[in-house]
Amino acid sequence: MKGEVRIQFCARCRKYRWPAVFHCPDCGSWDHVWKPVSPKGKIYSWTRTWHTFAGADAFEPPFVSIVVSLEEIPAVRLLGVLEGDEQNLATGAKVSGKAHKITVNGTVIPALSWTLD
Amino acid sequence: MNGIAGRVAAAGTGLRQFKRGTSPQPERGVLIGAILDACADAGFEPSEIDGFTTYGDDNNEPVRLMPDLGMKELRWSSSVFGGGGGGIAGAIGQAAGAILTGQATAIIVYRALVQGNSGRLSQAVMAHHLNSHMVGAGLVSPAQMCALRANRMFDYYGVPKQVAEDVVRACYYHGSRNPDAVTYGAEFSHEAYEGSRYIAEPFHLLDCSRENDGAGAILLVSAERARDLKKKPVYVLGVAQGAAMGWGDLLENDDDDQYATAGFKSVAQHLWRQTGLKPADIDVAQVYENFSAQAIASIVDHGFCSWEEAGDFIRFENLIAPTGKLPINTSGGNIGQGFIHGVGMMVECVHQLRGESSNPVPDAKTCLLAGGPGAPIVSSAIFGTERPG
Repeated sequence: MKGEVRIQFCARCRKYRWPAVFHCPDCGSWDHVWKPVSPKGKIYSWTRTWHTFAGADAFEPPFVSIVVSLEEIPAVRLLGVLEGDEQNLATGAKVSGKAHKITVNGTVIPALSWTLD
Repeated sequence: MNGIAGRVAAAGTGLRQFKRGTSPQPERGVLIGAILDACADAGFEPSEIDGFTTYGDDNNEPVRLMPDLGMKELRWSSSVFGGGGGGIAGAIGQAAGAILTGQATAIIVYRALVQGNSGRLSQAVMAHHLNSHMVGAGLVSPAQMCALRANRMFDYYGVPKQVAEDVVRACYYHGSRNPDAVTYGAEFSHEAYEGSRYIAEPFHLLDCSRENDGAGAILLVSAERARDLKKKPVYVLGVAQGAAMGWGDLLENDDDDQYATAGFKSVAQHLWRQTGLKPADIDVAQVYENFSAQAIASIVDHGFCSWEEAGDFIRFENLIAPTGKLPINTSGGNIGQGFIHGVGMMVECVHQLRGESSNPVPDAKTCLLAGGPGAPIVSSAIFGTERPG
């Protein structure tokens, strides 16, 4: 894991695809590349979790999960946890993210964390 | 063209519900009991059952039900894909399709859930959809996923939060009058609602359905055969299941005009077109409420009101029997009656149209079953007391 955020991009018709596909439904291509994108965007929606759910042990409730519409590609939304100051948490608020790793049930997985701009 | 059009009917119902963790039998035993209840209700010989449909990950293989029921043969078994309750009405559609094409003659539509056997439902549902991107955001439960949609709905469409409380209050009201409901005799109060702990904002505990142990079943046969059985037939007028483009398991990338809905964009259109009915023709509705906000979106998706009208239309007085414009969840629904993955709502459609509900809607002739909202696959059905002319 390199700490980069990349989104699938159709090599032929040059459109972003997220969630990723095998086959481009627009041009029929099977060739895709993964293009780096800047992890910046706006909060599309959010929830603050208070209940302790099995499988979310990496996070201590209450914690905020957000859906982020990317600045470069607004149609693409990514998920992640909001860290730091939550005072201006609202739909439409600008955020910046970083990629890192967390350990869930002994498995290391990639994750995004975001902070309000 | 509508190929169902009342040619298949529900002839019997069975529902056995227990507090979570208190089922007197393992899951299959409870299910067999509910199926036998449905047969007894219809005056139908269980050995004549020849098919089963279900939804949402039921663990009971139909073929293993045969010995207890003394079945002579199994001719149909199928389940609607998707881990949630979205497939509940679709299971009725599968059964109708099998009967109308001569592939089976008497089908039990069922769902059973006993935690000691199948574990927590929320985890089974999520197992279909979870991946690292979601887990990495701490999103592991249906409550959280529906909460994301709910917050967007309140923000984007400006739906007043009071509407969610009114939906819950209506479920409690009907449940408090249903001796078989978990909320029988219970009083709902604003203080208790708002004072209940947060699960995932905007949901308080009382916005959430909570699992029960139990099983439910309805017996479906052809309309002709139903007329010879004990109870008044309740006809299936139409069913639709599926997802529109831009809705589904898309990692929260659903189309902007669908994100905050319950996912019925295509399904509701098919249902109205298929039956020739419109929202004003529906006398009573069982609107699956996994969470309060998703029931609001489901009512809007089905065209009963617009987002702008939601605050006026989805009011407590409108939602309760016998006088409301659209009484919903007349047994109490998932929140008030109890939650066996929604199967109680399917049973209530039949009870209501036979006049057997604890909260009867006078002269009700049509009942909508709006399946689990917000699921990647959703489905709806309309039941009626008469076959279309």
